[in-house]
Amino acid sequence: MSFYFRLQFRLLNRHIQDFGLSPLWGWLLGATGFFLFSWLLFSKTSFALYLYLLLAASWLLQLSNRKRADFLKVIFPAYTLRSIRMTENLIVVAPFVLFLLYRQYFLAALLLLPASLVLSFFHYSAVIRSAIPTPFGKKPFEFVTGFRQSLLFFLAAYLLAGIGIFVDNFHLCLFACGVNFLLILSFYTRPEPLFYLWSFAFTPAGFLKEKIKTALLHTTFLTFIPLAALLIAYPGKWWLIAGIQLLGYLYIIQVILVKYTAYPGEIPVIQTLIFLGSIFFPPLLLGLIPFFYSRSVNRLATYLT
Amino acid sequence: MISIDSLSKSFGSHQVLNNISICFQKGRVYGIVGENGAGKTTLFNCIAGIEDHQGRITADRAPLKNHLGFLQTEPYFFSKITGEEYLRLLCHARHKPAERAAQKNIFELPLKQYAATYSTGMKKKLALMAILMQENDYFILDEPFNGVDIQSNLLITAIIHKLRELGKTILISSHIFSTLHETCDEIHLLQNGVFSKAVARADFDLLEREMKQVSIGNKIEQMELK
Repeated sequence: MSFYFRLQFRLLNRHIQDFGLSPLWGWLLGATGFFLFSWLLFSKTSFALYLYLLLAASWLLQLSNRKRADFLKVIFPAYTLRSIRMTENLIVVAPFVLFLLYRQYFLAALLLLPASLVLSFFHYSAVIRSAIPTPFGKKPFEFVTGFRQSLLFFLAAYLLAGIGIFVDNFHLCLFACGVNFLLILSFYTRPEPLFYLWSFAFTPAGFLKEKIKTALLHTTFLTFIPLAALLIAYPGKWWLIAGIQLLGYLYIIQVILVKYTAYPGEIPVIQTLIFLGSIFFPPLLLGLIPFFYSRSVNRLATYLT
Repeated sequence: MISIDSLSKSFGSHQVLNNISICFQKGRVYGIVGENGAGKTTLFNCIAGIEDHQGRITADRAPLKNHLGFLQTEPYFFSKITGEEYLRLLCHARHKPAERAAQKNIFELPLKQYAATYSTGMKKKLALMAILMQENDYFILDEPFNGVDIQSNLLITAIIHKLRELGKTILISSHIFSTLHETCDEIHLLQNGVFSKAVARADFDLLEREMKQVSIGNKIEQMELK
């Protein structure tokens, strides 16, 4: 069993190294990032506890994937397998439990531990044969796959926007819009296999234009309902709502360009930090978008003609 | 026609392809054979432009990559993409309509299902269908018969014959000699980074016997199976 966990640790370190960081820095930044994220979540929203528990559950569910469980079942005896699954679930919830204790949510923290152990007994099949219908089927693939993978999160964000309007909390509505855009940004964070890019008979500029056009069109479709609801509920703040929407579009353009500057590799840490910098200081976008555009055109020229 | 001139490729100090020059003509089917690791897939990746390389690869329709259908050994599918969406994506990538996918579904694949849930053979057939719908002039089929049922095997063989009739240039790699025997006009043996032998259809039997001799030899005795 200890070999299994040492191996998992080594695999995680390799992922960190692929990201362009030394493992030590990766763990430090990861821990700091997790703490900051948790702290921000609990300081900014009253629904933090529910979102936090949902997040912990989604991490646990990733380990309960049937394919993974079947693989472990084949290679380990039943008793070892049980110990492994329980231990890894405890490791995953440990940071959540620690933060909940720090915030004095003792009951939630104490419930999370046995819940994680119970969840280790279940596994779910990620293979659902009937496809979830999407309105994006005509232009695959990012929105088709991303929407299906994040459907529940979109529904939660829509619900949050609805609750915000209902309780007249404008900031909660904006937070929900932000969540929508973050989910869409996540569609573009991983590079697709080279074959998919190679297949395109486009110039690099044409390819990027097509990607951006599709992304903006589909984003408008995905964000239209909360956007319209907000404009109806808060007509006096239309400029702020429109501004957030516009910024969202710009960040989506930027993430597409950033992705292809490093293609076929993962987005390196420097570009990630620059991207984060532009979230805190949006005027940077005016310079960054043309910069990343020229970099990604150069990068794509290797694969597209 | 695809023309390869002085193609070399190495990974670090390991030379995989060594100064290969060859010309693949229109309306002909070429079998590329060699042991695992002989460089077949690397050769295909170089032709497709996926791998950097030394030497020149040209085609009568340029750029080659925009007219090339590449069936990879293990086609990759996104986890939440349906068969139909995959076909649409690949057709869109080449500015080709994908509207009659259901009609062209000769392998009777469940196109509304997620492609990732398909069996190995079904994945292969979906990927093949996509490159056929792209109406390419050149085809690289890396192990097209791998994991495919016997009925589809026959259908793929017939498709290759039809593509030849249509004047396409086709390169096939396969570890099943009989399939090459049925489909190819020439077989080229890739060994140590070079084409060590080119055999015309009339001499396929001879090549098979030679390969058996070299590949099997006394290796079974060497295993000391009990």
